Amino acid sequence: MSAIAAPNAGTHPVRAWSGVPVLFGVLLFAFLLHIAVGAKQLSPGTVIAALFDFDQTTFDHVIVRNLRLPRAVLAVIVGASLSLAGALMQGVTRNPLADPALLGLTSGAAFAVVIATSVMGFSSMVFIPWIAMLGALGAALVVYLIARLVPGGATPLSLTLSGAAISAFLSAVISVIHLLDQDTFENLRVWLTGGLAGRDITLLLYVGPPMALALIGGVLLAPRVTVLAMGDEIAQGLGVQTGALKVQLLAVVVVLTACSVALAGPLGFIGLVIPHIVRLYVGSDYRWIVPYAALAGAVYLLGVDTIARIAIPPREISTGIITAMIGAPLFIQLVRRRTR
Amino acid sequence: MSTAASHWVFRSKSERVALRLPVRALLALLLLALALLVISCVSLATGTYGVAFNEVIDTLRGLSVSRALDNVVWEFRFPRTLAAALVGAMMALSGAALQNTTRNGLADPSLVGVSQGAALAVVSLTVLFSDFSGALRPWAAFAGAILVALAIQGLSHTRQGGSAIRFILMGIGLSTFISSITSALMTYGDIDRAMAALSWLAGSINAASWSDVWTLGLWCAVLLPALLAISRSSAATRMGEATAISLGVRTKRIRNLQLAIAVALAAIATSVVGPLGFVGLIAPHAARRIAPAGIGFHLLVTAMAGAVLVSLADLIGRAAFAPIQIPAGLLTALIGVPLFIVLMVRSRSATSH
Amino acid sequence: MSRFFFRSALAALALSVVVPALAQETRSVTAANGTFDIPVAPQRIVALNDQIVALPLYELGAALVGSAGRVDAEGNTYLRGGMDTLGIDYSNTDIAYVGQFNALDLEAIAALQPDLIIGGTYTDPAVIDQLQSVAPTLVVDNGALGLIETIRTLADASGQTGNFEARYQRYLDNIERTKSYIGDTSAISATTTFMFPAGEELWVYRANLGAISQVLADLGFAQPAAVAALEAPQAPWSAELIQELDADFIFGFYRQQPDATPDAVRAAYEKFAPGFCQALSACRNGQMVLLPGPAFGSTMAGLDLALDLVETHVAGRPFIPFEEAR
Repeated sequence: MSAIAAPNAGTHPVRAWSGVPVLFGVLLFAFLLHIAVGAKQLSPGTVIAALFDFDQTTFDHVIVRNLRLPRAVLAVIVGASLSLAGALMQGVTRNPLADPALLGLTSGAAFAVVIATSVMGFSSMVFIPWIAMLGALGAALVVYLIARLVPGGATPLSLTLSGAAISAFLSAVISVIHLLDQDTFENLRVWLTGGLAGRDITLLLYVGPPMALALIGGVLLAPRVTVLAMGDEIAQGLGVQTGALKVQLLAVVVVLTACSVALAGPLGFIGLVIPHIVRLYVGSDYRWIVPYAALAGAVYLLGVDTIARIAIPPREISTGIITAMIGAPLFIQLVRRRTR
Repeated sequence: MSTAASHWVFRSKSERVALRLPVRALLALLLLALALLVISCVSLATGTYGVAFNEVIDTLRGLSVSRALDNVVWEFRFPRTLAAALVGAMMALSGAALQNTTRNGLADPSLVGVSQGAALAVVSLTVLFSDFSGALRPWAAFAGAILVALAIQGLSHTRQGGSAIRFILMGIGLSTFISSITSALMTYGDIDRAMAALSWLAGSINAASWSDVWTLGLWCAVLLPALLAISRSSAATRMGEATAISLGVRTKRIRNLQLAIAVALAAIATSVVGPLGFVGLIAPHAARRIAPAGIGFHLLVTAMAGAVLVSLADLIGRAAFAPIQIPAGLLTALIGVPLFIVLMVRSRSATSH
Repeated sequence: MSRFFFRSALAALALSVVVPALAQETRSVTAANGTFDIPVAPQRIVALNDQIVALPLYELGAALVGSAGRVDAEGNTYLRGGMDTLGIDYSNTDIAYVGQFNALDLEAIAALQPDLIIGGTYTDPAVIDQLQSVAPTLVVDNGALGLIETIRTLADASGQTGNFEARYQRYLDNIERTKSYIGDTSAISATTTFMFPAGEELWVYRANLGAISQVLADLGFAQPAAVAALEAPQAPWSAELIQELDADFIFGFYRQQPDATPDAVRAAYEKFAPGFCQALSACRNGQMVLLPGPAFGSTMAGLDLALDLVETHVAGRPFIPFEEAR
């Protein structure tokens, strides 16, 4: 699609290397900030004591240790996963507008969870990540298939539109289920807005291992994505088995997206916006884009969640709503700058 | 398709006015009108208030079977049936006009933010102002739709002019932004007031009244001829700007006029029944497949196809799961998305523009 | 289904003969949406909400013929709160289902040939306008009126004022009696909280949580400073600030739903704020009490129940007064 400018070519290896520790520093800062501030003001001493000298009977320690810390961990994992998934999708589909939410994966996973819990009556959370994965995989395949079938192939526009269409369809089905079964649905209301509050951190026991594997896999596959992003012919010419690579990448993306949805509900825009911001700094080399996107995604979600927790105490705003509110204007700015 | 056999040609004596009527389009128009008539009849005879069909006919003939039946048929079913057809036609025409102006076969009022703008306006007024009356709702929706349309137009315009893909992407971006504000209002606003906006948000025709029908009908009567009047010029712009300029048409003004009409059609329809997805997208494509024709006839067939689609969606929505009512807006999405995908896969021009 | 149609057609036919014969006396009343002429003694009332309108009307003895309701997972319709508050549902009364409160079936309402329809600010204004052609349709703004004035308005509209005033007077007498048992009620603080069953959100109510809010206010109980300072009647509360809710008594609620049993709700609090019970003196002292659903409903029966429960817990046993920690 010529309407969208190719990413700036050229990576400065030195700048790229030097950025990693900087970003790690920022991540650490954002993480500590997330733990240090909140609706209740706690002294730094209390926070440190809670971390290193935990006293279960002091609620201030519980706040840091059991409320803020798990949530910060969740923000890091989910932010990194969604952002990395988005970066890979943008590379594989050569579509700068790819994003797990925009391309229907998120709504596929959400849809599967809604169907499983409200229609089929599943309640054991052990299955939820797997159900979400099935849904995300199904939606991804359907969206890609449709875009492939469109004359002209899987272009950014055809992928975006088929993703939007599938999302619209699935949300219409969810609404019909809502009308037919109000009570079960009311319990899913908060889950469906997406967010990090009140999430079940024990779910990490089930989704943690596959997510860690997928994150590592994503970073390892990243160098070959750069080649893939140049086009299938060039990649094949360079000896890359594009088919096998695409299947591996799809698996990584589906696992990351589905597990994120299982953990935090459907959160939009992280996977879309962060890789683009990263690309402005590190250029078009996926070797750098992928790890940077993961780090920056974690930072973004930590920041957004910190805002959601402290903006209007004693209330909390749903993280999902703020993610889109901040993400959408960024997206618009991006489109303005990137398309001519 | 411009062979002599596929057209009936009428000429006035002086041959200053010539009318070429494409047979296939005429036939399609007739068949669609027939389908609309059948659906409308079924719709008039269907409902929770069970009555025999002949009683409905009697009521329509002006014989009062009972006061309650008069009410059901005249105040509920009749305006509802008419409103469904009118709204469908208007959304379809809006889609056709949008597709023309953006020269993108995949443009639709709900994909370019018009519906979301209307929704935000209605929800924020309903939730934030306690004495917001139902009578103001159409105006609020209209204002919201227009503002968002202008914002998208402004944002997607660069010094080099607006591009079709930017327009669509801006629509997606701005729509998501606006939807997130709407959902914040729905989540954190006064829950009772948020509830009052729910059925409108789902795109429900269940409460269409005669005044709604008049509003829709009047605007339709104004905007449809206006759209047809500039159809010749818009046909020129459809061939690409270079050709159009060479034809001496002031492209820019026509595009803006068409865009204004498109937004107005969608905004008025949305203001009455709430956001109805995918009708504007499907109907023009369906019309083109059913009967390829010149722009004028194409618009008529499109309007008719939209009317049939929404009437059908409304009928299914209230009959399929009775006594539970499914809003037409959900059914247009459920029917519309698969159709949209088929059209996308089969269209030549979907991505080449 | 066809039998239903047949029956309702028959009923409609029969009524079409009867109704005009009963030329009713009318009087004019003013509701949130204007002034209307309504029958002095309405015989066929339709409620556009089950919990807020239908239940109070039914318990006051109003002639209720139809009500909006809900649909459960099996697709059966029911009156929310009906079974546990008054022991009624569609199945054991003559109340007909007319749709969900936000997806009303206008024809079902018309088929009942009502002489009075009552909705609220949650009703789609376009639906209200359409229903005016069937019968005078009143909007009762329960949020602005508060529980007592809402029920009084409903009683007035349905011609049951005498019934209501008698019950209300009895309730006020009971309030006085309870006060006399407790002594200085303003020295006792109480918080009302509502936990979502999955533990994702905790809502705190300064006012407007139905019967329990009314009872606590009528008894003259105090509220924690943070709650009293709320501008809105309710707010979603941050888990970190749960200690700001501490009081002599903290009330929560369970409901007649498989996922909202007392155990499930307690587990939800624990998930929302781990160690919450240790953090709250009310909970440590066994003064955090989960009340049954009807206690936050909008009925006279709910008021009586809530008052009894509060009396039992506050006057009916010794309790340890809350003391500010630091």
